[in-house]
Amino acid sequence: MKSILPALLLAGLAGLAALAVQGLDLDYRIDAFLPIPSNPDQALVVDQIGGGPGARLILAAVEGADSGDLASLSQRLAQRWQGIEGAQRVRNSSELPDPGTLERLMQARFLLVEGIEERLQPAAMEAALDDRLSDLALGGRQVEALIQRDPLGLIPELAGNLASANPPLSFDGVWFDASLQRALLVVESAHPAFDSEAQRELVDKLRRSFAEIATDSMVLTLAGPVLIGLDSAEQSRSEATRLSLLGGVFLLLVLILAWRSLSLLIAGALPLAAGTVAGLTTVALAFDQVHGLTLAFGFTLLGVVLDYPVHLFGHAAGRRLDQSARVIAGPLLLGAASTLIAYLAIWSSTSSGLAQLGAFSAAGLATAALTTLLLPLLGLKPPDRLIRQPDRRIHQPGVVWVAALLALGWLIWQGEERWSSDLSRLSPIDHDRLAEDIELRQALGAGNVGQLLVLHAPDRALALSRTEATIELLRQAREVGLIEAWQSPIDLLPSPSQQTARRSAWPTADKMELALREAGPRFQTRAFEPFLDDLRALETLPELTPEYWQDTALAGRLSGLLSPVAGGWRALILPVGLDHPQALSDWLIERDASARLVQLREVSEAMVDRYRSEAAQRLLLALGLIVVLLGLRMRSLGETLAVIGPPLAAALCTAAIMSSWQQGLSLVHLIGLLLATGIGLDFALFNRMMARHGDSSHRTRRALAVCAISSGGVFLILGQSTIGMLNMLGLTVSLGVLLSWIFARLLSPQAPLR
Amino acid sequence: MMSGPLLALNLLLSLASQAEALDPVVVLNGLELDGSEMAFTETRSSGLLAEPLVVRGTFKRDADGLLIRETVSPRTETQILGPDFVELRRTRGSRRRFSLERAPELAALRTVLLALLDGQPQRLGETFDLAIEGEKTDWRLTLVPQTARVAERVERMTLAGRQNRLASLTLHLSDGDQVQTFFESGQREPEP
Repeated sequence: MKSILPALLLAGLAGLAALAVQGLDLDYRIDAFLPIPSNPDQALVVDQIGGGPGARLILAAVEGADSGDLASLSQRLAQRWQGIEGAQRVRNSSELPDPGTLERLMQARFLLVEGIEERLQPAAMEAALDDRLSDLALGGRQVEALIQRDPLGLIPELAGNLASANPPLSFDGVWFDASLQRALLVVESAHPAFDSEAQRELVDKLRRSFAEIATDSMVLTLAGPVLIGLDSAEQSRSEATRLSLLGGVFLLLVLILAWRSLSLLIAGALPLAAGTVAGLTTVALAFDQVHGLTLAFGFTLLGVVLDYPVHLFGHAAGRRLDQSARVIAGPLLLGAASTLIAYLAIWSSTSSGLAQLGAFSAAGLATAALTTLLLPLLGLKPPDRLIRQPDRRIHQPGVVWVAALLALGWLIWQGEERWSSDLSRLSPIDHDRLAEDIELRQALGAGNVGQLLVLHAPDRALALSRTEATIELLRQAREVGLIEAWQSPIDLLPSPSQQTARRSAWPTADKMELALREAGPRFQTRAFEPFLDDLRALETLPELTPEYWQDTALAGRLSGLLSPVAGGWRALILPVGLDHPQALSDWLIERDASARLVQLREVSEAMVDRYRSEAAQRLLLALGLIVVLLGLRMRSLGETLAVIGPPLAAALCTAAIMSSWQQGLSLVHLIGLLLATGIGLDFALFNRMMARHGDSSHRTRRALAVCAISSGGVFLILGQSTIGMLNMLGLTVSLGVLLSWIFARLLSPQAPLR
Repeated sequence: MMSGPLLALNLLLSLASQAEALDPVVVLNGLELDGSEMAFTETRSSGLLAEPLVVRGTFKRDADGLLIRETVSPRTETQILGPDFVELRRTRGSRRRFSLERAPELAALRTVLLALLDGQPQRLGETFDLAIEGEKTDWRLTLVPQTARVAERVERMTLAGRQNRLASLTLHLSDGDQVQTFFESGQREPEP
């Protein structure tokens, strides 16, 4: 009956936590865990990772039939998918897009082509009309309408400029992979990349629509950033749940063996539950949107509070629970306060994800510590067995300090190797999934945009004219073989001054009619009337703006290359066939170009470096504060060192081992080290402060052994995950806890005070 | 000088041979094709033009199975027909590639001419329904496309010839347009 009250409390807290999680607006963007970009290049990287049009792509492949059947299915599928709400654009071929887009292109073509004066020279006009004769000779009546409207061949030229530089293989006019086994399609989602609910709905609709028309043998594979986002949300949820369950069962077994009491077991979960509710409430109040990873990491960091009831009940063996609470209050609160300092340091981070993590853990930790000390109010019956074991005291402080020095030396000797700046390691995505995605992207010729030419300007017009100046330079660079081609916003949107110049370069319709007649005497006199109508309409065509392309197939292309940013506009030029990026970069700098070549990988690595060093600085500061706090409480330098020594040595050794084992330390390792150090500090405090009091030393040793086995075991189980992040975290913490425990024992006081 | 009975016998024999039904496969197999290339003259009429367009050039095939159409009139140009594309190579070094998806008649033309240039005209029976009329000295072979996609644009094609010589190919498009191509033996000299 004793367990009813704690059970009710636990159920209430669990209900509150579940409600809070339900109510939270979770998102799984990786960029929430990045620091606030400190320069435009970093802003670009974050944009490209998070919300760029590239992040809204769904790549589709259909296989399981012969190429002809797949091609016709691809056509039907593209048509059906285009009709689905939420699918902004579906493409399955390199053909020119829908008639609406083509018509816009047709109207704007006079402003989009270059070299108008040269085109209007009599010889050039004759050559153009000869080309149209050749078109007629090959295409017959089918091409007549286009020839009437476009005798100078402007549209095929523009279409050529806009086409992908490296389109996939085509069969029956539809995209295929190189082996002709899979028909390929690309869907651009209308929803923002992080709106996983809307994306999930769209993906379900696409799959259902496929199932309705496909034969049984046909298989649809979806990939791309959207799917990765959904998969990572789902996969991390399911795998983390499975491993957490396993860890939970393990923890229960250990604690049942240690306490042999159901009511203690339930009451022991109360601090964690109260901490969770407090953490969630704090995060929900302090931040708008909560990152999914915050919760995952936050629960992990709260793992340190699992030990609190172990200490309480462990020290209660053979006496009243409130006595025990009084005894452990000193080291427990000191340990909690120290850990709290570290978590508050994380809270002050510039990355919203890290700040949330710090807030969640700090609030949770403080609440859990207080809850633990209040547990005696429940009137629980403490475990009555105190097993007296022979006092096997090991006092080998030298080993701890030597290990710490060796680990520190190894970390220093490794140099930069000790860090890993690979941004993708922070992502919860399974690496096989990523490989699949890259393979499909390559088949589509979509490539990974790793290099970009970037320029900024205070307004749009200036951004465009600077782009034009840069393109002039790129033309020269092409002549010396530095670059093959590029895509830029001025393909669709020339600068206002360029537009004005081109507009005035075209003659009146009457003059054009005369010129055409002279250049192409074999054509009927009124053959090109539709073209002349278009030319007349040019007078009333408004200046082209991004809005002109709105709702066309080309809108996404333009908005990806030209966008408003803080303090003005940013234009991107995507280079094609850039084998020696550094050479082009130097070449542009020598010529004082307004655009710079940005290598996204380098920038992202620099950002991760800065991020990590920021986190490291905060933690060092926290360490300093912790030492001061402990010094004030222990009132002796020797005692303070004896308390800080084991966790610090354990953290150094764990860092040294993990950095060699897992190719460098990432941010995730740092979080793991922080948690392990927090747990280790508690070990050392209890060991140091309690071990002097006779029977307490037995209780403490036993409690610490239970803590080490339970925490170390749970994280070892998490470390078995295939998700890179969980794997790194689990192994780091379990190793750190094990070493902390060993080191704390090695630094036990020499003789107990009787 | 031929004797009366011999003349009568000769006449009888020739009458008998005329009465014998022509077999499209036999006629196709009997064609004497030059092999590597065929010179041609093509006429096209268009509402855009003051008078019909005369195209002169040569059909060739290359080792990769591409059909190459080199014209010298109305201008020098090379058109390369692949399985699903046509590539235009004009003077001034421009190269442009289009999908054959929207021009099934070019795909049909490619099938027919490649079969002829490969010296395997019997292959035509695989993609077209064949019918022949006329006599050995003057025959017309009609090819009706079997696939719906081609049939949408191409009503039929007619090959005409005398004995074992191919004289012309006429493309009858569904919109009523007709393209007539006459073949000459040997390679055409480039026009000045």
